[in-house]
Parts: sequence; C-alpha cells; structure tokens
Amino acid sequence: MENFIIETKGLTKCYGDTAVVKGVDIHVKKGEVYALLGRNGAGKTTIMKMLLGLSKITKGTVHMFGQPFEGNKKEFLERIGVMIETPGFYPNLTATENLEILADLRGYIKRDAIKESLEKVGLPYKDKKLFSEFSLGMKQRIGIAAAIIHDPEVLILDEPVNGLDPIGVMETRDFIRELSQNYGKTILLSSHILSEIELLADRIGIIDKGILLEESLFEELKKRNMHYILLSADPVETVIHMLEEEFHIRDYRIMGNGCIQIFDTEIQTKEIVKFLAERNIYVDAINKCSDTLEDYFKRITGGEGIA
Amino acid sequence: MLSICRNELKKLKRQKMARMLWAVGILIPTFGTLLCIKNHYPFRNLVGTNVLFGSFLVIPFVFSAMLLNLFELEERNHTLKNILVIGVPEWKIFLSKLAAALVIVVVFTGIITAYTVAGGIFLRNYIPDVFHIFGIFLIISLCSICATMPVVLLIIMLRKRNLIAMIAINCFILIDFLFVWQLTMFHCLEMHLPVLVAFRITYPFGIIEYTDNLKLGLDTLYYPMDKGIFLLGATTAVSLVISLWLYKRQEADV
Repeated sequence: MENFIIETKGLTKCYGDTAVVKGVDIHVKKGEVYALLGRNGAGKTTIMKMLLGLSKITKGTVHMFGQPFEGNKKEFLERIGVMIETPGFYPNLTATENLEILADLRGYIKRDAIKESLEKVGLPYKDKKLFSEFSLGMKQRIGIAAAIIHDPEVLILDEPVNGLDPIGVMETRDFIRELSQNYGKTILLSSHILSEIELLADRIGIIDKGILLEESLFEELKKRNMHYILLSADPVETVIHMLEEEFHIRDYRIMGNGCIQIFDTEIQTKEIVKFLAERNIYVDAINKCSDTLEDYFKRITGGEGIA
Repeated sequence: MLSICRNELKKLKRQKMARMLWAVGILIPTFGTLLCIKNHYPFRNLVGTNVLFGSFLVIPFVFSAMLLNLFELEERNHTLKNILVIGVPEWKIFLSKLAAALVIVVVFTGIITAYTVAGGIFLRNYIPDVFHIFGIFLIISLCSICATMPVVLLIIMLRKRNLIAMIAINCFILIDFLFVWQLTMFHCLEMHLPVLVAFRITYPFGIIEYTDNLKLGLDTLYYPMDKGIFLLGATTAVSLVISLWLYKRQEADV
C-alpha cells in the first residue's frame, strides 16, 4: 500500500438532504502538487474544510501522514499550512501585527519567521500599512505568508492565485513550484483557473457537483485523454463500425459536426486512411490533435467550460 | 491561554468601536463625579454614585459591548478559520475572549477608582486609601459582571447580527440598571434577580463611612451572603456552560 500524505475514503458532506460532496477519494503523495479542479460551487472548498476539521464530515474518513485525522487533529494541524477562501485578517492591524498574532498562537516558530514569510511573498516587514488598505493581491499574499509562517510540511491552498494581477499570478506560481521542488513540500491546491493548473499540478483531481470524476497524474492524463485523432469521413456510422472491427477502437466520440474523435492514439493515421480508401471511403480530413485542459474538462463534466 | 488572551486585546488596537467604547466608559463616570463635586456631597456619596453608575452601568456595558466586539470581529473579518486551523480549540477561544473582556473590566475599575479619588481630593473629605477604594469597586464590579453573565448567551446567539446584538445587550444592561436604580420603587425586594442580588450583597462593601441613617438601608437591602454568592455563581456557571455549548455547536461548520 502506498503511503499518502493525505488520503480520503468516501468523503461525503450533506447539508440536510443535499449532498454537496459525494464519496470523494483523494490521494496526495509526498512532495507533489495536487490540484483540485472544478467550477465554483463544485465542492472544492468544502473538501478542504473537511480535511482540516473546519466542517463536519457526514460520511467517510480522512487520513493524514498515514494516520486517521480524528484524534490527531492538533498534531496534524501543526504540520499543515492553510489558506482557505478569501484570506481573513484584522483590518485595523498591519500585516506584521496580523502575522504576530498567528505566530503567537502557534507558539513555537523561529525568531525571524514572520520577516522571512513576508519577504517570501514580497511584502515588507514592519510596514505601517493597515490590512484594510491592502489590495486584493496583497491580501492574498499575506494569506500565503500566514500559511508558510511555521514552515509546514503540507500546504493546503484554496484558490491561491485568486485576485492576483498577472505578475502576482506568475510569482505565486513560481513560489508554489519552488516550495514543492526545492523544499519538498506537499501542496494541495484548488483552482478553477485551468491555465494555472496546467502549469503547476503534478496530479489532478477533477471535481464536479461534489463528485470526483477523475484523479490521475497530469502527464498521464495528457497522454491518455487529451490527445486524439480527429477524423472526418462519411458515412460516420459505417466508418465507426469498420474501425471497431479492424482496429478494435472502443474509445471514441462522434462530434456534433459529424467528425469522429478517436482517443486511441496508438493507431497510425496513415493506416486508417489506407484502410478506409481500400473500402472506397474517402477521408475528408484526419489530424492528430491535442485537447486543452479546458476541452478535456468540458468533455468529462459533460457540459460547459469552467469559467 | 495567556498569549491567546493577550492577542485578543491586540485585536482591539486602532479599532473604532473599541475607541468609542473606551470614550463612553471614560466619560460616563465623569458626570456623577462632577455632580458630587458641584453639590459638595460627602465622599461616601461620591463612592455610592460611582458604584451605582460605574459598577452597575458602565462596567456591565463595557464588558458586554467589548465581548460582543471581540466575538463579532472574527465573524466580520472571517478570521476564526485562521485560528481554528492552528488547532486552537473553540473553548479556548471562548474563554480567552471572556478573559480579555474581564481584563478590560479591571482597567475600567481602575479608571472609576481614579475618578473617585480625584473627586475626593476636590471635595477635600477624601479618606486617602486608593487600594481600599479599588478593592471595593473591583468586588462590586465582578459581582455585577457575574449577574450580567446571561448577556454572554445573547452575544453568542446574536453575534452574527451585530446591530440586533448591540440593541439586545444594551436593553439587557439598561433594564438591569433600572431595577437596581429604582429598587424600592419597582418593589424588587422580593425578587431574586441576579443583578439585584449582586447589588444587595455588595451594598455593605460600598459604605465608606457608617452613619445612623444607613441602618435602614442596610436592613432593607439585606440579602444572605451565602445564598447570594450561590445564586451569582450558578448564574455565571449556567450562562457560560450554555454559551460555550452553543458557540461550539455554531462553529462546528465554519
């Protein structure tokens, strides 16, 4: 059995009769960046809250560091850095004062931790500016600074680039990458910004309407599902039947415009063309294509895009 | 626990609401003190006035409003989750806020003492025992706070609706104060309201100088000390246990 840093089994959350998270099994390995991808309201934040004990679990279990979360909550939380939803801080205090309160509550962090964490996210130490005067991007940064102040092994970040300007997005992305690659931190993040996920995630979990539709390594996912052959030939039904017979194609989709997407990319396109030509079926177009993550997301969730 | 309590006080730094409460708390005892100075009342009357307006009006008001402010600021700023993900349990958060509000009570007791002593100096009939005066105010204020503890339940229930909560706690404090102020007029001597019990058992402490005409007051207001302490203790314990239970229940899903 593999050792996962975070593992959930059948995680379910119900509000009354409505289930907002349904039987989610998440597996986060040490040192990897795991991204939960889903639309707003898909259940990402609720899952994170349940992982941290902020929301009661209706059904299912959470294991962290190989042990059950229940009963070891305090010990685990000391090893985790968290930023959930919009970062909340006291508006009448400065960034340093806000972090001092959190550092004081943690009680065991090193001397320069506040200074270092603020510098890491590009905020000045002992600045006189109050939190209420911060821009959304700066608020997001202080949220990340609060999450890393105690040098945690695991980071749980909910929408970490939300509200950041393009430079801020890039810096945060690099920073998360650095934490994972150089310091071996395990990072679980959620986002609905596909371009960020594509650039950051090692492993991806696609969630829609509270159900985890897919969980796999991003590279595997790309290889397996995001590449396909796009074939345009008439009559479609006959072509499909012939390809099933000859090439044993099972994973395909007929698009609205009559084109066929074949996800078994091992087959050579020239073989398909030759095979169909020999049977007097002329191919209008055939291409090897790559889906973007957004296309894949649309396909797997069976509907609209993520935004 | 101490550091959590200290942090609670830090949160009030530069806060408008806290500044307003400080101003109200500092200003109200001024009127009673000035009134006594203007009319050249004896020092014992000044103490009596400040016990009534200070310990039974200002202190419960400041305690309740500051406590509401401390609970409400976590709701308003979405900061409670930051504390909970550190692993600080709800009961510690609850008690630290209560402790911070009690620290503020002690500070205001000091302020009322300062007013009383300053008033005494102006009246020129002051018995110079600051610690004795402070002790009197502290005991009476703490008993008054114990009697006011049901307000914590109101705060916990209504803290997510700040305006309603503020109106409710002010009504509670004012009604309590009216009972104490017009104790005989409202025929309250047969009642066992915590605030009346607190007033009656602490009444003898506030007497700086015994005079013959106080005999009637002492006899009329007499309330058995042990029964009074039990009633105040029970009020405090029941209010806090129910409030804490409710708070934990509410915060189970942040």
